[in-house]
Amino acid sequence: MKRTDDYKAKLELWAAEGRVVRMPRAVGFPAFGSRRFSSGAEMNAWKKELLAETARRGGVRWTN
Amino acid sequence: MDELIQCFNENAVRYLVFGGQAVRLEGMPRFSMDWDLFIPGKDAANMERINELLGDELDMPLLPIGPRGENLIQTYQTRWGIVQFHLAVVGIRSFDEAEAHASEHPNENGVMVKTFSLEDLIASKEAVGRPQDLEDVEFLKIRKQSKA
Repeated sequence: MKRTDDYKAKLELWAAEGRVVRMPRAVGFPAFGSRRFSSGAEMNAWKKELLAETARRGGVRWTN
Repeated sequence: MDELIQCFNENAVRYLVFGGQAVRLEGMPRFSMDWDLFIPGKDAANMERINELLGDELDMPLLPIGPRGENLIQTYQTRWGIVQFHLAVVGIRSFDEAEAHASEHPNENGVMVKTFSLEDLIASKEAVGRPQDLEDVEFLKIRKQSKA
């Protein structure tokens, strides 16, 4: 049996419906103090490190 | 986040949601770890209003943008989640222009959220150009066609 996952078809379906899906909330990000950045690149580097640190600690919990 | 958005709406705070959350509000089931809010970088009264409304949630106040782009993005971990205030956005000429043709979407709980227009969402994502942004652009372009 041929199985396919047509990503474009999914996009078309979502775009036609425009239904807002509730997003689960991620709990358990490491606590951090507020940050100020001078560029998107600086912020993205920090965010990447935050995600790596979160992964090292076992990830986040998903809640409704 | 509903509480924060409602508070901003009720107090006439100038903000526009963009990024992953705005894409989700257009109908793409998509996760984003934070909320990106564009606010006018030099509207001191607006910034002061946000500082007053959020009070203790902000462990340091929002500051205006500096002459060399300082404070361009200010990130806070709040009880509602991670909130990022952007004082300028790549691909968008000014807050005033973005605000002039902004959209308003009810979220999953019926709270009205002010967001970038589809055109500005596409422009901002194309300007950043990370792989996930380009996936979002593909969806947003189809969404734009379906709304036409």
